[in-house]
Amino acid sequence: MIPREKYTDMMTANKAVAIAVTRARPKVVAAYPISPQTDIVEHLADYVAQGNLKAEYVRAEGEHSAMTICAAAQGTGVRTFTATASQGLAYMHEVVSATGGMRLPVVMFVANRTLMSPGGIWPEYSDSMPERDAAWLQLYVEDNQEAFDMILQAYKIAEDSRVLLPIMVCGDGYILTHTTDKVEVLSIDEVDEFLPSYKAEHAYLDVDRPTAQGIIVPPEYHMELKYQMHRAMQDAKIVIKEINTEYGDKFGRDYGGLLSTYRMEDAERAIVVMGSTVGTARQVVDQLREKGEKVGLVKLRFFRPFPNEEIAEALKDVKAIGVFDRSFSYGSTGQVFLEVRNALYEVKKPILNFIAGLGGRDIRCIDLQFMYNKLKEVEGKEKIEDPLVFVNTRGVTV
Amino acid sequence: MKLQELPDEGPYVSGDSACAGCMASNIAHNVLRILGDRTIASVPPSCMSVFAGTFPNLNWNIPYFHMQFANTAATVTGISRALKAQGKEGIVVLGMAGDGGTGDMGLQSLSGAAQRDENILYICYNNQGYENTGIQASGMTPIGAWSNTTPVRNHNTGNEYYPKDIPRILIAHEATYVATASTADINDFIRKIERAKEIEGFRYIEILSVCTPGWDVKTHLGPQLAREAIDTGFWLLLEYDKRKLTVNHDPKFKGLKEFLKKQGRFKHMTQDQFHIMEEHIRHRYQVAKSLSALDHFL
Repeated sequence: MIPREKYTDMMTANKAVAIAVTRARPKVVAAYPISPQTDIVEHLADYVAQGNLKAEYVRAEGEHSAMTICAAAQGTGVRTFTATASQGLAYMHEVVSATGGMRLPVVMFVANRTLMSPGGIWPEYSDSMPERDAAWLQLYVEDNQEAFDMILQAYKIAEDSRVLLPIMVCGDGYILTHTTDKVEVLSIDEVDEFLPSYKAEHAYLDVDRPTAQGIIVPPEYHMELKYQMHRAMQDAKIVIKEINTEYGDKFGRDYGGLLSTYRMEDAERAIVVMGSTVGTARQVVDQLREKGEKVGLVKLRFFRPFPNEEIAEALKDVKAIGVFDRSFSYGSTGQVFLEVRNALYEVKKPILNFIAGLGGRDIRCIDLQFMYNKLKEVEGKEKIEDPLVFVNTRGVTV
Repeated sequence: MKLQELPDEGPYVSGDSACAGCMASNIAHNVLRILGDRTIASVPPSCMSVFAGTFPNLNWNIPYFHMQFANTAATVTGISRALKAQGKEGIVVLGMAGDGGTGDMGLQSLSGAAQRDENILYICYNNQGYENTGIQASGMTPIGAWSNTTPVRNHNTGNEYYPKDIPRILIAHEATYVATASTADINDFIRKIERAKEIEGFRYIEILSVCTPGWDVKTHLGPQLAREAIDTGFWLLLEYDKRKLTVNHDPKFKGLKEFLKKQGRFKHMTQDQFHIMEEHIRHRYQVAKSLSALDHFL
């Protein structure tokens, strides 16, 4: 049994997520196993059996159905949860998109894993990145505590009447999902106060008040709905910050909202980092700072909505910028790089795109040191021929 | 309930934009006359989602949810589970899909829902092809039938494959209730929909739906062809309930050729093809009969 009270324990991100879900008390959980997410659905099956979570637990016959069950249940007026990774997310893609368009605040955990081919079960963002246009909020967590905290915040953000969009909480497969770390679990009472039980106030299926959801909308009416999705994303930026502040005030963990910075006060070189790599990057920044190098980092938390203004503000005083991408848009660059460079259009700066960790390749301290050193080379440069740098890749000259 | 006792109007309201003579529209109307307004419906992309579910015109005066092609059974599963979690009872959760959405893409989610015995009513209006996209063969198109993807040219002689038998697949799941029906036998139709309404668990009813453009027939011919389909054995009336299969009507297999010849999609058929069709129909009936001879399944 999970204690009612606040407690601290060592646990994997998967377990932290599953416990957070019991605290958030969704009424329907649709589950399908896929590495490295599987033990979330195992834990949840256990928690339902033990009575820690009172929910309809549906063992779907595939991720396409799992997402469908969540969307339809959410559309019937209850809070839902599912988790997936990699091929599972790709398999549910068309439903992911429909769920965003139907403004159903489903919460899903994505245990980031490479999308084939080549096959692999190790971390990469090539699974969640293709979902960036599906009208889902998308955030990447750094550690297990943040995974726990953000599941709770995710429900509150997604269900806010100014947002009403689904949200995927992404965490690095294995590095977080299968590695134990200290996690503080909030008490049931604390969570109940922060996240009251769900009451659908938007359109939902009710025989006493018939509405239609997800129907065909011809061109005459179509664009306004899409525009509203955009507006909701814009408003989500405000909501994310509000809820971050509320959570920080209540529980002492303020994550900075859309992004946070580390040792950026007088930084001359900075790297934009996401996910568990932020932890490694923090250490490298400290090491380089000890040697007198003025380096810092920006931890990008939300990829959707993308914090254009905030990132431009955070990077306005540096001389060179690196953007870390753990996925790649073939024929172009890393996806985060595209966004960051777009956000910096007004403040022209030398900028490099570091591609690292694909297929789960380890991102070591020396790789991040290499990135910071590489930025030295482009400081003050007017023009960069090719911003792409494949880090720690055999056969690639850097 | 008798036909005379059914309300003239149900929650599927008039004014849809179905083709002239469309039997799917008729099926929806009659199903909803029986089910009433304590029903939540989901329809996947199909003729019905277009002719009765394009904003701002909606013919479903009940809660209505439109999802994708492959996941109707999962959609109604989600609705049904959410109702259960909320403690809402006495509501029929209806999925209504065509044959393509049921037997091809939709088969996985249908199988999953049947195996889990989800508390849903799934109605397949089987018009024997992808008619919404302009008449292409589905996995449930009859052998020998013309369609735009089973052309009759040179050595091609229409659909080369036998149709999937979805009721038999679902009976193999030991599903709670599986039936086939036709508006041509309205008393049998009413009885089956009513039975499905009153029981809980996974219920599947497949209803033959004459598609006038897809079958290449005159628009007034739907009811007549539906009747002849039963008499000729082209469409069997079956019911699997309480682990027992019943064949509700024993066809005489007479007039099959004439029945087929009335349909443009079969008019090219050779004597050999008629023979293959007849063998197939008789075989399917024999299989159903032999299964019905079992005292019970499981």
